[in-house]
Amino acid sequence: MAHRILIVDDDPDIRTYLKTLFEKNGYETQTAEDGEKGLETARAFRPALITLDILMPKESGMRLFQKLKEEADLKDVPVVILTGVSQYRELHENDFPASQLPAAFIEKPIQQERILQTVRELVR
Amino acid sequence: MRLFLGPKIKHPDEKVRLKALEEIHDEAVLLDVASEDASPAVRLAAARRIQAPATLADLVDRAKQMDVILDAVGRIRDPNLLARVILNHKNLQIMNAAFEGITDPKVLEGIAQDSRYSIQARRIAIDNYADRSFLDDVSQSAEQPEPPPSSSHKEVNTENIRALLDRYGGPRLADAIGKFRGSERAVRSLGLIARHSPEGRPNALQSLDKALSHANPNIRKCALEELARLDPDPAVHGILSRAKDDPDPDVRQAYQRLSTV
Repeated sequence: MAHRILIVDDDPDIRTYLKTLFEKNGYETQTAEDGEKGLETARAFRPALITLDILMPKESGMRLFQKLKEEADLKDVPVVILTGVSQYRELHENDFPASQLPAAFIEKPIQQERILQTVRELVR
Repeated sequence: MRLFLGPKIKHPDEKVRLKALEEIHDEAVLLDVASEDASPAVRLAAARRIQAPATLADLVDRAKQMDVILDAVGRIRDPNLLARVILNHKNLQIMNAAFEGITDPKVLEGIAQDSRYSIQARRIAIDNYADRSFLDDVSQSAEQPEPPPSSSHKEVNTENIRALLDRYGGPRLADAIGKFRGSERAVRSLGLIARHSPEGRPNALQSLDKALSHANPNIRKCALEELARLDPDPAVHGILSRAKDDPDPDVRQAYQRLSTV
């Protein structure tokens, strides 16, 4: 059975790009355009990995990440932060215990090989 | 008796200097007086006579008196100048006052992504980028003209705001939109929430109360109008009555007009 990836990003081009890239590489995907819908979709879809943008309407990626870590069924799902916000780790380094940090940070523009390699390492 | 022969704006008597300000239109002179006069009252009065946004931004950089700075920030409408204020000032009170006037997502995105800004400013920008989308949703309902009671459009208009209130809750919408109370669109939206959501009304009232103290008289007038549209209760009366002593004659006039309706 294909591993499931949830893509949460407000940019439709990024959603389409990642969806196509992941599906071509054998993953099943769903997408959400903001943090609110991201949480709803994560509860229903039960992904093996979530890619998350930071600057989003309704609920920032940061707030969504906090909510995911509070949900028993979702707190162990690895989250890859995809962001145009540089120095993102420094920006939020005091917000989380080391055990609850995102699984990876990838800066936009996204490099295809980098993200595929990250996903392969996190979803086995 | 001592004779003073210099310009009136340099006169040792504060009252003479205040009177002299009424004749001064040169913004460079007003900027000097607002930043350097010995009297806090004269500095504030000079600051309030400055109109050019760029001069207001210069004043924010030069002034040392917090009420002068906040007054100047509140009257800057250009989001790029407000972003400059946020870049140059680490003080949270000044930053928050500047963020109140920024609803342009591109400007918020720019602050969030630019490492020259303080970490605190970038985090506020990320949160505000998310919350401003509620302002877009609610203001779409607020910007529709109020239909007559018999109009069939009334249902549609009410349905829009009801759907949003059901989905997100009045308090959450009011708190998110209250962050942008330096914009008229946000103040109108707060009025809409206060009218349609009993749960959101206290939060919306709190932000409308703060908007009634905003440095920009247009925002104060707008808040006054929205408060006057609410079903009257002691809380609303208490907030509204503050406007009768507003420093701006237009706002006082609006209070007189609205309080007699």
